[in-house]
Amino acid sequence: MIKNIFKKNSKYSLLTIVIMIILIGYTVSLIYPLLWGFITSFKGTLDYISNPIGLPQKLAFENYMTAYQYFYLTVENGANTEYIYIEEMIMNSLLYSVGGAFFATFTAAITAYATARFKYAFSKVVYWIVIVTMILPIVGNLPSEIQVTKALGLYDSIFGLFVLKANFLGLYYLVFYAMFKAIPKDYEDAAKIDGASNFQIFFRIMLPMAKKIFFTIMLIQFITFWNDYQTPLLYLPTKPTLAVGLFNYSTSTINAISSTPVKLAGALMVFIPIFIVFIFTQKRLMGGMQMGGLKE
Amino acid sequence: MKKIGLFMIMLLTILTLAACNIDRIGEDEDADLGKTQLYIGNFDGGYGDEWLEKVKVRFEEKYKDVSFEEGKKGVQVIIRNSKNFVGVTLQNEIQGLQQDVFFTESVYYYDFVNQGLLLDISDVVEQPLNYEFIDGVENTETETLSIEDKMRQGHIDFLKTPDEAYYGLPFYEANYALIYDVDLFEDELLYFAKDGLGNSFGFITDLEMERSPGPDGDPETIYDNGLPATYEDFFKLADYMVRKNIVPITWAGNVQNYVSSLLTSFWTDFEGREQMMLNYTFDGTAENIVTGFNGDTPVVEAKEITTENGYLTYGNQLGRYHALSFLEQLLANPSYYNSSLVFSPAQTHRDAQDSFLSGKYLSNNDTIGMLIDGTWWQNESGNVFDALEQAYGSDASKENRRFAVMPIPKVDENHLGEYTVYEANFSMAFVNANIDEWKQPLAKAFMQFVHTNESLVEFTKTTNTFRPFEYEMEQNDIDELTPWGQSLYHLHENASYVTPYAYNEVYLKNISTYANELDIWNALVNGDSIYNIPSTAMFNDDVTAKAYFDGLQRFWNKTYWEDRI
Amino acid sequence: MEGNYIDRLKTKFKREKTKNLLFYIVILAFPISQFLVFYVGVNFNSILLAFRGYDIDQGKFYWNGLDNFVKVFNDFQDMALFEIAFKNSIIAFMFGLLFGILFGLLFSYYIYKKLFGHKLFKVVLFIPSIVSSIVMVTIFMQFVESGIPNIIEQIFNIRIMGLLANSDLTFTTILFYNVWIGFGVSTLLYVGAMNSINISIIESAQIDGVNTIQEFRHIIMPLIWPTFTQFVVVSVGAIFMNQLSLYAFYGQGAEVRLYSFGYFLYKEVIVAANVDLPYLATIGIILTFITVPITLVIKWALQKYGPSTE
Repeated sequence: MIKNIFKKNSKYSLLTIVIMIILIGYTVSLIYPLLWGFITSFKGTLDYISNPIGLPQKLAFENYMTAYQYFYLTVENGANTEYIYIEEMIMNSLLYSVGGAFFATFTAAITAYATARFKYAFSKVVYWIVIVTMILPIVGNLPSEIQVTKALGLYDSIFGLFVLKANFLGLYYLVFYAMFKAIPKDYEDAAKIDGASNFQIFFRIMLPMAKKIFFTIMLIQFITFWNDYQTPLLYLPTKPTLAVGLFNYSTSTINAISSTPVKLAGALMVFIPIFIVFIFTQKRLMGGMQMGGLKE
Repeated sequence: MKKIGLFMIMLLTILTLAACNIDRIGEDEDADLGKTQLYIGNFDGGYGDEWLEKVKVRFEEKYKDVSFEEGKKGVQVIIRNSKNFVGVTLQNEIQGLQQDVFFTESVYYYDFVNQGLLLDISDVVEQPLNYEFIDGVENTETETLSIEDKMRQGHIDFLKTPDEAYYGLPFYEANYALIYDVDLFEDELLYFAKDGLGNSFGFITDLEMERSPGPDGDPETIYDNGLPATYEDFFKLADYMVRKNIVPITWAGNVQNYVSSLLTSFWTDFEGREQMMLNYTFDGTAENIVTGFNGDTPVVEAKEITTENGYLTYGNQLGRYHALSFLEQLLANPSYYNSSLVFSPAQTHRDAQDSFLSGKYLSNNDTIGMLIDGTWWQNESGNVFDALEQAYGSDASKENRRFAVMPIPKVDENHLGEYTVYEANFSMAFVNANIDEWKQPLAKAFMQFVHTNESLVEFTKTTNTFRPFEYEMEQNDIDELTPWGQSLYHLHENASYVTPYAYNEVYLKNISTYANELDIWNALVNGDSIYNIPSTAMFNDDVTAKAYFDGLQRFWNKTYWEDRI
Repeated sequence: MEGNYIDRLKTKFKREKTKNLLFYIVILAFPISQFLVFYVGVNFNSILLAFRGYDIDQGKFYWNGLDNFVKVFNDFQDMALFEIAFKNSIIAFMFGLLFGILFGLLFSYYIYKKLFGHKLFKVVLFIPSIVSSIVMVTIFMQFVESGIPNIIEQIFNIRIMGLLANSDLTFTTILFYNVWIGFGVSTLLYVGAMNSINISIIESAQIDGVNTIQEFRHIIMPLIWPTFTQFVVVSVGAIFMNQLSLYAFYGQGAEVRLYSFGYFLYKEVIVAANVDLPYLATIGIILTFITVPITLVIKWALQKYGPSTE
């Protein structure tokens, strides 16, 4: 590779070499703390105090056991104090993330389909609503959103969050729009000749054609919702998700989990599953993000 | 990448399998249907529940043959610990809760009382302890005192309502203190020698040497002999420690209000009980109101304090100025503390305790002489004591390592005298008003049971802390305490306590401010900025003690007060 | 006969149109309703809230006129925390623009050119996007407070404060953190936009002897300008919404000197009772009215004065 840099007409220039050095620096700056965090999570209390940056003298798996044991939240539910443990938080997270991702993606998809394939004036209106709302900032409408959510009886309900998140605004609408717009009309025409209804055309022909993009966007949304702690913290007071549990865990003053290694064990306990998902889906995930580049 | 993924899956699988056998926190024991259940709600904090578990065993044994409900015999005490059993959260939820009796903190007592949330327990407090609440049971308790007989006057004055009823009792006795390592002080001979003795720095040269009388000025009270009597002594000690490569002091970086609370302790100790109580009663003459400065010297006058001008003690009481001056001098010398820890948001109270406890054993860590923390700290640090004991033997155990409260040094030699302690945290024990009528005698019996001398002593022996009642401990009971617990015993027996409560409209309307460790230090500094953490104001923004004190006066002014009365 | 046929065709056509319209309405019913309630309705309610107060005793909202606006304007002038929040929000934006967007573009260009290690770098840049912010903050905080000082002490034998503990460095460290974790999605979107450039343009430029800097400046940037504009415009729009990850770092307890508006508003809403909502809504409205024209002007300027693809 070094030879290539100095070859004539090499694609390496001063600019790209500088960028490479910065990227190497960035990689080290990211990987090293993650590795340090991982290693530290296996240290005992004294081991960490005496040796904060070296390797553990003895692997303290019990940190993860402690983290697992203390990874809980209490919610007051009428007459009882309910203890919400990690398994229930995982279920809440799965429900919120999968359901939220599905409804958000599906809403964007059907809206994009309708407006891309049906040339009503309203379709243009919807399109421009998306464009305008993307650039029009609305600051501080959270108080109002909470009020409206409570008034509609959607507060403290995972289903309520599905409704809240199922909007067509944003980038993913445009991605679906471009995709559906590009499909030739012939598919529809042929299906209609065979007597297919609009619903059948959508669900059996169009949506399957968008399958790859659909699942990619859903995956991206899934990860976003999985990691989101602020929305469930506000809207799901009695149904904490894993992200909320982690927030509570990381700020907890309970003695057993107040030391650094145990705090890191809890954080990594949540990180590992999503990292596994990432490893096995990274091509699709990152490939999907790349398609979002906009053209005028 | 995929190999990393497979490794992670393997790790996750191992951890998941190992987790299968873990006991869960918080699951109640199963209710025994053959017994009557009494539910206890315990704030999940520094005092733990081990003491309650011991009470449970004895209480259940006492009433094992008594039928409270048809078809059932005996009582089963079910204890639940929760971080939600506290303060305003509990106030909002208690009516819907299953728990009958609570042990908690941060309680605005009259808010609970006025909303009818607490059961009247006047009979529990006023009847002698050998009175039996359960019909048909012969009480074998021999104590003839009542709980009221054992209470501090400050608690009686506050908890007894105008219509002469009691609805709650104080739970624990806690304050924010300077905790010092006795073993280290002895090993390094860090005690002041009696006048005329000692080395050139004024410290003892061997353990037999006679020590200075300490902050109370009385050589007969041995527990404080040799400890710094004045601020000047304290910094002499700190300098001496630095010479010996000891870091004098540490605290939790992400809980700076521990330092603020220590300042409140300094303020209290300077003013003494009577003067400090003016901050709550607004009824009396404040002797130490700063009206100006003559150079660096505060000019002090006496002022009558009423509810109309209660802001004067908050903004102008001399004790606050002295406390801030102490802090300023402490922070001015970076060798007195490790700034990368004591101001780090990543250093928790547990990290601070861990550093304090382990420095002695770990060669590449600081040896630390003192810790700022609450007096319950030893209960919180069990894990690291266990780790140290495992690594270094029984001398490193909680039972054998010696720590003690350092009485607050006095501002100068003219102010030597007794230690006045500010009782922190507004802790309380009470019975839920929603309890079924038939169960009330049982709950009252439990409340009474917890306040017998035997139970109070057991609480102390378990937690190595004290409850704010008078109770008798035999010498062998005292010997069973850890050295830290014994130090608290001296405090319990010798100090004067300020119970920061009063029954008047202004106090009750603003109790959330007086109970708030941060709000109590609100000051307008650097223009219109409200600061409430003196330590970070001084360290980060170079605010001087005088500037902060001026800021206190600017904040606690007539206009502010009028909005609140 | 022919007339019947045409009539039947017309009827069939009309039925087809009706079916299409019905389908269109049905399929859009939920998305449009959701939009009307949770975008239009919420924002309209936000405006209404700004003109209301809350009576604690009666448990009702009442018309307050402009009182909230007067209070907010006065507080903006009098209260140091708002001055700090303004300043920090703008500094964070400039920092993000300079380092985040600039480096994002350069990193994307490097990856687009498929230079040494591009696959690894692409993955590394993306990792913070898939990791929970709490996890990243926990690890980052412990590392900069404990890891880095210990490394420095071991290597250089000098004791330093943690980067967050050191009050001179706290805010910069927070800004650094936000840029450090923020490359993932934007980088990939830029790469996507670069990938959609016709390769023949690049090749003919290379034949003409264009170097890397010239290629980046005169070919890549103009052709991805819409994507770049989008990012800048969204960043401008989010000036007062950016929380700087402060809630993940400090929860409710961040020092006032670190505040951004985004953090202040979120942390206040979490603990807000009804009586507090109108005040917070008013702040939001005022900030929206400040941000919208700025955003539109920036968008217009970037489009008008941006490089031409010609």
